[in-house]
Amino acid sequence: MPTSSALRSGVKNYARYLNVLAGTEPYVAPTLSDFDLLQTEILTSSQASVTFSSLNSTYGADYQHLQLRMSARSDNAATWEEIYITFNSASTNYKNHAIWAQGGSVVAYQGDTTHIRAFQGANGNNSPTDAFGASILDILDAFNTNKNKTTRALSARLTGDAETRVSFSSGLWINTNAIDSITIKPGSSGTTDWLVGCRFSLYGLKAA
Amino acid sequence: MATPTYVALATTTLSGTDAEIVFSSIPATYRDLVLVANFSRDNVSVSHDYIKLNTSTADFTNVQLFGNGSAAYSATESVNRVSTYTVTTGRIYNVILTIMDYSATDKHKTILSRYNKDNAGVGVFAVRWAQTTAVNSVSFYVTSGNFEVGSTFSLYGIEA
Repeated sequence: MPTSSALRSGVKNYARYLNVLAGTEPYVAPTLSDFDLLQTEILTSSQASVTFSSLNSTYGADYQHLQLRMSARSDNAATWEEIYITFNSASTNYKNHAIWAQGGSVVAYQGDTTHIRAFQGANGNNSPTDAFGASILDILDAFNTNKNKTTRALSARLTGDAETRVSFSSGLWINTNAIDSITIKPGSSGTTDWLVGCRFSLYGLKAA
Repeated sequence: MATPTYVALATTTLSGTDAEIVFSSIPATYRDLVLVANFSRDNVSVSHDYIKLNTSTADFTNVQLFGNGSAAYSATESVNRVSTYTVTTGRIYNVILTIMDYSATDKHKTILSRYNKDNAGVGVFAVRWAQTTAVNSVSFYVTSGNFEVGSTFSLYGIEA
């Protein structure tokens, strides 16, 4: 409606726009972030492992560090499970250190050469129903080809029994290749599966 | 496609003392919550910080690991604590905790709480709330005394 006729029509409140775009909703740029969700897997069926792949080709140019956030429970016939992580399908040249609490004891540990381990980070199937372990694991300079890859994790499982634990841990993969894939599997026996509801999320942290 | 996340949801900066900080009406939009608390306290007789989820103080268990510079300790409890330390007035404490899967309805809620007392201790609590209800309010509180003026409490959401 031309504004010149708006008053004559009885319209009391109107706005006069000088071009056809005025009055539309202003453009709002997407929220900028330096911490982005890259991929997530929330299991709807049991799986022996979860793999995030094509990471370097997809994200290597944009991100410096990676973070895994995991809620994990396996079909292990016990209250506990362990999270084993490998990079680029490699099964050698790993080292791990950890300190954890179990009941009234504090334990320090070093070992595990075939994987990175998020110590005490998953529940087994004999733990209370609906109880999942929790782990947050950082992978530093994941795509840098001049550095061996290091990790650090905070993990826990609350199993209702003596397997209740909380841990700090660090990991090392003695390899300078950029990480292109991450595989996460239960470590208790090599035959257990992640259960429905397990969640594995991968995040990227940018450099300035 | 990457999704920007780690979104600031709310921040409280105390202009007066307060014993309990409440974040309510939390949307279920995100998967994890992160609470960053940086504070001082006025009561030296009580040495813990506590959490309520959906106003509940029941069905919590925890396991804890902490060091005070000369020794390491661990314990398990059936209470809703997320930290432990010896309170000294005028000192700064910080607690950064994650509530994993707060919006999920098929899991108990697990909290990973990492805390420091400025120059006298470091520790971690893992806490399980044995409820599958989605969390829509979080309270961070002390049972005696108050958080002091200038203390800050920020809540963030992380998608999955």
